[in-house]
Amino acid sequence: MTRSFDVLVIGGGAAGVAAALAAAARGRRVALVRAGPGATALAAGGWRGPMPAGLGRALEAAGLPHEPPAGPLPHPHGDLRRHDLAAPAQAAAVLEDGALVCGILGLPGFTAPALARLWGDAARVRLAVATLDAGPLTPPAGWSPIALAATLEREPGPLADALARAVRETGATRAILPPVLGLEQGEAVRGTLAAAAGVPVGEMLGVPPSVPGWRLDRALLAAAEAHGVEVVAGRAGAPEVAGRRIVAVRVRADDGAELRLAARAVVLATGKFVGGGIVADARLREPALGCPVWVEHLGSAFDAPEPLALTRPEREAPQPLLGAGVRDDGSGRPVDRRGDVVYTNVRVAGSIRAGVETARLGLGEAAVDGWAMGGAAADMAAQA
Amino acid sequence: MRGRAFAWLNLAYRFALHVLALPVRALRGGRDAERFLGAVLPEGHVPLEPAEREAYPAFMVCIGCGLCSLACPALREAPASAWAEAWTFVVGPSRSIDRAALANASAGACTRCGECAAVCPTGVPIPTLAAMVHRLAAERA
Repeated sequence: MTRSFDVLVIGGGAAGVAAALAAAARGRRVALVRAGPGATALAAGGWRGPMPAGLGRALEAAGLPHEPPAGPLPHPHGDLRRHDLAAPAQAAAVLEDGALVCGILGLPGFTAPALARLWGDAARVRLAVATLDAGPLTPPAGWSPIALAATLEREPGPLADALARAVRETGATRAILPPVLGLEQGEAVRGTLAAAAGVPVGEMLGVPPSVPGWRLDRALLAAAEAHGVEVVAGRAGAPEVAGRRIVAVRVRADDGAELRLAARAVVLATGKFVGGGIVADARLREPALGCPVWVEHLGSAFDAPEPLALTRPEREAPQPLLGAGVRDDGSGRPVDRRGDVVYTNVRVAGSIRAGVETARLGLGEAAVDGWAMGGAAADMAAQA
Repeated sequence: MRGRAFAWLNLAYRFALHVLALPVRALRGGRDAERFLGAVLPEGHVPLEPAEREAYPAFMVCIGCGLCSLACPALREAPASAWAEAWTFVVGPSRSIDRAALANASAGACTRCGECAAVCPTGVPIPTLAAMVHRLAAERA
């Protein structure tokens, strides 16, 4: 069955949702197709880059307002990381004298004594330490962050009591916990803990599998739906083309249905290797619309992933293979090796772009790109 | 020089013993497999089937990103079952087969929907791994 839209956005991360919201703000009928959690769902709870005003308002309405943090945010690897904005739980993790760093029994990866020492040295503050018991539901094999977060939504009592005791014993002014305080962005769990302890409670940044990333992912989708975007869960492929225009895209929905989505303009924001927007098997390819993908390095063009040629031994150096993606004509339209536009009514946005590495691209940069391309697609749809 | 000559003679002697013992080994037949399993099973090491052994390289490409757990619908809906996450299925048992029972203990929540495999960026066949863990845990019991 065919559904028709003005703008079709493929990809539901920071760039895709921003594009969908931008197009919806201009009054277009927008559909967003999303295959599953991608790189955005692995976000740590911080935000680097600008926040488009419309996206910021939409996230706030969805329960996840982003604010500038008081300082660099504590990361579970022991260092502090600068961000332009932070989710509410992360923004509350202020490293001040007398703050209490907590681990949770059975939750691996957040060793409070080591973190308190490392963060304390980096921020030059004195931090107290406690390890809390989340109660009898602790599984014998230990907690996974997501299972603990979901459990705390139903049974926060034991952890709240343990935190209150630890705060009393240490005289702490603030508590910083692992990022597991509930899956929903309603902040209920964090509020319960703060009420029990009598001090503000914050979360450190997340590492994969990241609960803060899960919250952002959910909030972005909720924001899209709240603004009239039709969110379709499924994988897009097999585009129907007329000349150099995409007419429709086939979607295999998660429930098995085969949909045909027709649109006047398309935004391709499917990300890179993590979310499957770029695939590197025998060749480098873009599976949704078939846009050409190649890496230019040392004067040669590579269309297959050749790790020896396309990576550098310095870990922190830019890696050409990780920058593989779709090139554009300067206005977001995908081009081929000769520089000719492949699809005139498609705009690429976010980390799918060539020359961009997912890990180095801030959420804000992706969102601004998506917002701009969504607006451009909306204008294009109005003229078509 | 004596050392070298002695070494050669010793080698020839051992080889002769080996050749003479071959018919004896053939007579003992399949009991070698029993002896092997008898030594290994009490430690909790269940041998892998050939198909599982072939699938191991695909299991080992896990990068620990956790997207599988984010995509798993059972995780969100069954927190009290303490499901140990799709990715610990990969990281845990692929590093230590004897912990299969632990990983399998909370496998009841899995509905075999395959979402985990669909989002895995490196293509780990997680449901296949789940089936292997289930078998190992059952045979250990």
